Amino acid sequence: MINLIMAIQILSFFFIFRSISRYHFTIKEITVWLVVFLMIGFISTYFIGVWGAITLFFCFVGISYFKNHRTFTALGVFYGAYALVMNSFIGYLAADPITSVVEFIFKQSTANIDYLPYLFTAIAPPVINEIGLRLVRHYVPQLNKEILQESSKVILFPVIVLFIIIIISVYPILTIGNETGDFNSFHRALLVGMWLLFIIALLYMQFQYTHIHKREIEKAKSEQLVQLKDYAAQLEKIYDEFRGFRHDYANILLTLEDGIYREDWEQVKQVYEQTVKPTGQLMRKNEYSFVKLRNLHVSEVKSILAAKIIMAQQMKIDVALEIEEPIHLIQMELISFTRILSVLLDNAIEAAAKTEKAKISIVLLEDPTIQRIKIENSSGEQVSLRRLGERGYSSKGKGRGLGLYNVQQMLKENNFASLETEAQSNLFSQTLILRKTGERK
Amino acid sequence: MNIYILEDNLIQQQRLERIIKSLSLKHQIRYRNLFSTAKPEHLLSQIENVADHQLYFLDLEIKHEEHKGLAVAKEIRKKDPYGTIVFVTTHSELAPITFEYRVAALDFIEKELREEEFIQKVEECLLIADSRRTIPVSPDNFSFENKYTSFQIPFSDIFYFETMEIAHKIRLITKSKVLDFYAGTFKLIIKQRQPA
Repeated sequence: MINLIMAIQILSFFFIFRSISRYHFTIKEITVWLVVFLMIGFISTYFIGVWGAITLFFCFVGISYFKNHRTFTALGVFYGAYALVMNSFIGYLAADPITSVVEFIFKQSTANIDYLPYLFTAIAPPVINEIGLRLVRHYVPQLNKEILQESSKVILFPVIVLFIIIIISVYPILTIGNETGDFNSFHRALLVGMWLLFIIALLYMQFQYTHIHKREIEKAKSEQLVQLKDYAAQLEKIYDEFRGFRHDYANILLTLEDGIYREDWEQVKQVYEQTVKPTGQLMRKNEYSFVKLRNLHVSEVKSILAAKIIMAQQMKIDVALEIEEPIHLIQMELISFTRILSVLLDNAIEAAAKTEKAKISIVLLEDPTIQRIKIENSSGEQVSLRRLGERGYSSKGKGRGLGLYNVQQMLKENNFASLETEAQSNLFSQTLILRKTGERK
Repeated sequence: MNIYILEDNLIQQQRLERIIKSLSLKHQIRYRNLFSTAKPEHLLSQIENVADHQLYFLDLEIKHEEHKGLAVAKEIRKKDPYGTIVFVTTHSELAPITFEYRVAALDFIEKELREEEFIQKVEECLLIADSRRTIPVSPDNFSFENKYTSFQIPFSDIFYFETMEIAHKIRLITKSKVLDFYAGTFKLIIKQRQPA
């Protein structure tokens, strides 16, 4: 029986880790990891007692290492530490209530129920943790993993250090408690202090996150303001061109009228060839497709598109924009979306700039069930479709190529987004396909 | 083959008719009817025999109603999924990629083109439509739709599917495309493969 309870305890570490990290595990992976955990857990517990849990901590860091494409991340360490502390924390809190409830329910029972409280106490942490996390995730907007990673020095490191302090100070006390069955008052106070520290650590994390998130939004907002100003300036420029054209137009009509009344066909022909015809070419400039941005009613996306289009046009790239239907909503979290869009646009601009007839097409399509964002650019070199998006692979040369890798990392978290990449002889395009879920605001 | 022209400017309408007639003579393209109109409803009511291949020349802007042309094209597609649609339009209304997605339009002919270029474009479209008359268009598409994504790819373009390191994400490799999508389970894909 004691072995069963221990197995459950070991497994509950894994389930807490799984639910906080939200890594995807296939059934095969889960089975393999559980077996590995049981083996490591039993062996290490046999030799070093409660400290066996520490070996599991290193297992978690190991899992995170593989789940993050063989890189160590602060987030991965955090998940491991969280699983360890949370398991002991809930176990400690739940032990007494569960014992009394079990004793109350089975008061009349004559069967041997000594093990029942232990059993329930062992099962409690993953269950309570799961329920708690779901509640938190339901009511608090999801933390953006990108922000957590980027600001890990401020947000994650202090928390991880606190967690480790908690583990180091709590585990010996728990060991003593296990052996003697009770804690003395000093140990009790230390435990309570440590649990308070744990809660403070979590609150600190939430506080720092909100703070940084806010700062991020403010930064984005002020960038957006600058971009919208550029957008307005560009619109004014286009308007000026049109005003000039309108002015010329009146003169042209007068000259034509004069020629027609005097039946001077030579003059009419000359005016038409020299002044009217060229205006047709003016109308054909793609620069005016810029105005189609008016159909896009998401200002965060509008400003970034405007900024990149202006940048591309300054680099003498012909930019064609197609937004034929009004778009009021992007089917994706906006911070991630604007980042992905920036990377795709930057790549397109950089690739197009190297070609002779530099051209970019940006298309936003709104269908009843999906949204499509297609970015197409003229391309000179052959791109390996298979290797695209590998960390560090770039057609631009060594040490580059993190952009697209990051795009794929962000898309990994989003099941409703698909990325289509197409390479033809002189064209390269990427299409982000967003499935409408109807769940978003 | 039937040829339809939707154009509200009479001069442009006659110009296009003239060009089509002379090109048909030149290439010995035989068509049953050449039908010109300025009214979308007339055009739509005329589409009957879909078994025959049809070629449509559509102006995008009819009587200053924006996207009338696109709406008409969508209606036509409902009645005639395999007809050849060509937009004849001014540059400012041009949105090639959008219309290719929406109604699989074959081409766009800008009205501002020089006469020779314009005729050449019409000629290309006529010849393509004429060749489609004899070769049936294969509608053999692999269409995939689940909670997370939705797309169509011709079966003949598909090379293979592969799994990615992320659970449930699938990568589809075709002749010229790579598509990463969330599949849920791979069983679903196998199910979609079977003809309904």
